Amino acid sequence: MKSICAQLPDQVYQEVKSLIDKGWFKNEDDIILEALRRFLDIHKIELMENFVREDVEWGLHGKE
Amino acid sequence: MSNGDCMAKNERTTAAICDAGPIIHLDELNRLDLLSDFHSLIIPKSVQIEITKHRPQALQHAGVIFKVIEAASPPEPKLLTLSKALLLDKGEIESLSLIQANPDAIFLTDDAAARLAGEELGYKAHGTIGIILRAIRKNMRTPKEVLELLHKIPKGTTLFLRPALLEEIIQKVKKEYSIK
Repeated sequence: MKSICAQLPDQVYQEVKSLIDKGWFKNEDDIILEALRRFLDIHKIELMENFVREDVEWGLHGKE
Repeated sequence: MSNGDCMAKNERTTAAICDAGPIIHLDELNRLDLLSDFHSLIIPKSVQIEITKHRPQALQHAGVIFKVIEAASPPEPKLLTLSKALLLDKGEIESLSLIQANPDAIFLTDDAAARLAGEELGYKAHGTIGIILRAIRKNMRTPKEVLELLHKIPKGTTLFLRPALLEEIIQKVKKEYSIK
């Protein structure tokens, strides 16, 4: 397990704190881990590269 | 081929709703004019603010006029759900909100999550690479000019492309137009 230190804008931190206060997450670690997991799920290399390849086809042969 | 040579031949019928990425990346290449044949170029207020912050000159291009529109607030429920699940930022949510009012428009974004959301909502979405290659099909640039642009991407722009993928695209264009 690695530790990272990150600085958050005040407004983002307040939103994090609010989710914890309302019981959606146990603590700051949990919410940051969940956010990072979701980000990494969405930004999978295969997905991004598939979009670029679709763009190549559309660019060269697409119809608008 | 000059920028405007074939503009008159193009059908200016398609509108584009733009996220910040493609505008910034095309401006970094000094090729914002590749957007000039769209019937209209629409950006939400938050994208205007984002571009003004990072690359203000991109919104001052003589031949490319962006129409700034306030997006409806709050977004409709499905978009709101998708935007939370996919962690979209304000500019991306507002762009998608605007495209719901212009369903025949193309959504231009280089963000995978925003594009995923756009396609999930049933809209056409493309990115900077598509716009650059489209310039050949639209007779706005020659294949050789487009190849030069593609070569400039790694050092001349903030658009990240894995080098092997960029090379794959370059080889595809060369093969398509029989260029050695």
